[in-house]
Amino acid sequence: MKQKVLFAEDDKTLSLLLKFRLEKEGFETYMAADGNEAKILIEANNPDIILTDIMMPFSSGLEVISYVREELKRDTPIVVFSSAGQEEMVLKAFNLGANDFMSKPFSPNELIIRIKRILMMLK
Amino acid sequence: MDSNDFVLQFFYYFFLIFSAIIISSYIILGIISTFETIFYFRKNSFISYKSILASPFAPSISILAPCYNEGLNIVANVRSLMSLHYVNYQVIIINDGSKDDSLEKLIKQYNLEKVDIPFIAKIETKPIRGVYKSQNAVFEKLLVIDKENGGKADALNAGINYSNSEYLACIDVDCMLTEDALQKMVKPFLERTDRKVIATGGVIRIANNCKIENGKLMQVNMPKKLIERYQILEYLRSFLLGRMAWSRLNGLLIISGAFGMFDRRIMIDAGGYDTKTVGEDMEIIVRMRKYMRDNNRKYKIAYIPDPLCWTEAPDNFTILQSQRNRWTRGTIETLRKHWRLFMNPKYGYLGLLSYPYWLVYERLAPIIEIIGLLFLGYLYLIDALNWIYALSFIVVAYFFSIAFSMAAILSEELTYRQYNKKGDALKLIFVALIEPVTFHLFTLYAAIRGNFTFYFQKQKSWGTMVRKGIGKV
Amino acid sequence: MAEFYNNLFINFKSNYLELPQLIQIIWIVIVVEFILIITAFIFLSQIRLRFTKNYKKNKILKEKYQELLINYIYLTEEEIQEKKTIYNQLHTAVKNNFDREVIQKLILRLHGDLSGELATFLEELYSKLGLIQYSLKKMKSKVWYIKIKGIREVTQMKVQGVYEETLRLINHDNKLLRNEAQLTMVKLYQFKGLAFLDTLEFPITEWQQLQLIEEIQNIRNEELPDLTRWLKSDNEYVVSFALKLVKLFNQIQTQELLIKLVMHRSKRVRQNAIGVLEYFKIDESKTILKQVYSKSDVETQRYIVKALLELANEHEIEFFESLLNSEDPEVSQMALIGIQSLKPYFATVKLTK
Repeated sequence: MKQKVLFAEDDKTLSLLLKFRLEKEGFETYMAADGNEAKILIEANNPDIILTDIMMPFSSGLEVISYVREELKRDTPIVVFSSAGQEEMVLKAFNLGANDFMSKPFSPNELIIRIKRILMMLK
Repeated sequence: MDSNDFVLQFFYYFFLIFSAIIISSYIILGIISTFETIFYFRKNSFISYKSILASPFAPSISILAPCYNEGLNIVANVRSLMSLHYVNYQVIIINDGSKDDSLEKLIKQYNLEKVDIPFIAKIETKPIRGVYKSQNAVFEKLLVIDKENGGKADALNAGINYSNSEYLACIDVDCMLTEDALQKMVKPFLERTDRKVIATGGVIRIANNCKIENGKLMQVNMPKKLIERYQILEYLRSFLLGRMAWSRLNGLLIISGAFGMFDRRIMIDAGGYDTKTVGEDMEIIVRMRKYMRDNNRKYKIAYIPDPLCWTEAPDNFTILQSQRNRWTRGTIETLRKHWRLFMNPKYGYLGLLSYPYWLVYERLAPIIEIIGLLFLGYLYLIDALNWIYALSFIVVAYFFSIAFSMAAILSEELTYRQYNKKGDALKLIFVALIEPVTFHLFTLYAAIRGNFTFYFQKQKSWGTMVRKGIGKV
Repeated sequence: MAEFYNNLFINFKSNYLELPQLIQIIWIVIVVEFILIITAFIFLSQIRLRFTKNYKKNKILKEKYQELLINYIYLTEEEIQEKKTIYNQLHTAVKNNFDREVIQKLILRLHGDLSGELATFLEELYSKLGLIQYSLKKMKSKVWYIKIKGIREVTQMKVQGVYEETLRLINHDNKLLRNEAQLTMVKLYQFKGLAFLDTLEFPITEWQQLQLIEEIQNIRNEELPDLTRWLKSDNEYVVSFALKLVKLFNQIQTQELLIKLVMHRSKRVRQNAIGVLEYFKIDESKTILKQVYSKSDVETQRYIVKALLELANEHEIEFFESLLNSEDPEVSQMALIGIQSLKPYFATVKLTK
């Protein structure tokens, strides 16, 4: 059974690139362009892992985390992305229930390794 | 030549010179504004505002939003204010003795509880009934002050007392700010070493008929009513072709009460807002400028042309009249209070340029125009009206008005292009064509009424703005 | 027919010339205004048309090249033929101005988000497609904002050989170019790039200081520079900036120097120094703070009292008591808070103001 990855990122090109890469690694991917889309996709598809940028237009990654932990009451692992040390936001993300974080710019290779590791720890 | 002729000649020349100056000043201001806007645009085209978000040295900002009977939208408005992309800021809502359930709604929605915060009162205000913070960590940016009713200025002063930030963003609580509004507005304060920037003004955009969801601007649409479109045109002219220039000349006398940012220290030292005027937004600027000059300190008031603040504009004549009436009274009150600035060389540009210009071309202009129209009527009645003269004057003024409006629409097109659907520009051009004989006369009327109200009816308050709910499509 | 128009024209002309001069002028102005209005209208419609056209074109091209680019990145060694095709396509496209800008923007944006192998790959691609030449050309432009764009592109794509060019800009008249050069130095040479602080004679705005700090925060695995040199600089802005670095890198060992800076000639530096002493909770500074208090201006006095609030113990009670009747209500109120926190059962003193 393919594992489902949900990625919330507003930059289309990056999004596409990651989709490609993740699908190559054998994941089923769902790409959201903002927090609202992310929430909808999460509820509909119940991904195995969620990756979200902290700051997106029209919404924040924090809202997504809050939605998953508090409204849907799921403990899906969540990894947040942030640019150049938005420490306060990252701390908030962890307080709300995020599991890990990666800073931008990042290496897609490292991302894949992290995802695999987290999913493996769940088993 | 008898005295009658002389009087006639005098009037002709007076109006001619008055109009010539106003037209040339508009042109000059328009040109300076355009250059200034283009320069700002270029300068910021490659700016990343991320550095200010991430920095441990990012300046602290407090948003001050007075609230009076805003129960309908207060929860949504506050949520919108708390989701800005700045990090080092807090939102201070001052409940100015609302008679509705504004406070209750806030307490319930944001899990507020009364707290005891030691603060240092720098400005006198009406008594504070309580201060509230949220028990939920997600809302720790929020501070709600409950106080006895004292008016917008008094509420803002209370907010100033409770803030410890370096900068204050004073806004109308129903204004929707874009996510990057704070970092863009605070930048001018940090960019000069030769002068102290004491305040920054932002452009106010009209949110009527725009799609706003969850406190974010999703889509900009042209409003449906002509009266709303007229205000868009007016704001474009005033902001894009006027205020940018005044900011460059450092002669700006007003920053919109809907959205402005101030150096907190200077604001306190200048005495805070004046609660006895309805034009507190203009009065505080004039007083802060005066304060800096009195203390021989070099300063600047900046202006940002980015569309950062969206607000609901009056959509019917009654409320519009009330608003313009208030603006007129505010201008009169401020100019009267600071009459010592007039032609006073001690105050440099402020006294020799800004004040006189504002006095003649903002405060007296409606009166002069009415006198002009009445004069024309008089000439017609006594059959002394020279049709060629009258026609020429009217046509040149009408065409100038249209040309200037076209310049404003063009300016918007070359910079921010907020209205980019087919036919939007045509709609604005249409309003420009009919404006001189419709809306302009109405604004004139409202200004005259403002004068009447000021001189003959002292007990006028802020007037009411019926809440329609921002962002309904 | 022609005669009719001729007559009309002659009539018109004679009527016009009979008018008073003033009115003649006004009508010339009216004609000028009318021409301006029509020109503005035409210009406006042209801009709108062109914009919509470009917008659509841009969107289509962006999607096209996005896909090509990503395919190119992820094609394996076996599919080398396909890889070559895409490469040729891109190579030709770059010759066209419009297409080149789209591709350039795509690569730059993507590169900004990525690090590691992929980032290097994109840098090589940028070079192979010949895009470096265009960036270098921008850098040589006389127009400042194009120059800055060029510098950014060149720095981001790690193009070699631009050191001299950038160094020359460190002392340029144009503030924006200077700032950009400073940032580039730090991006390229990390802490060594801050050497310009040694000899800088210009001021540094707060905004620029924030930008520099952002770049500095990206530096990894480098030894911290010695900040004392800059703390002793003649340029007060360099001192202010160094104080920020002291705070950022927890250089508490500079405390002696910090205490000396409380008496610096620049008010801003004094206040910044007091702020840092407060942040580090340096008890030893209390003596000097109390000493300079009476000679300081009101604003600095407030800074001092605020710092003392943070550092105070019973020894400060007397000092606070002396401030209770200060002319400045903020100072007296802070003093009161100070006393109350030290002597919890202290009865509320009535302030004489």
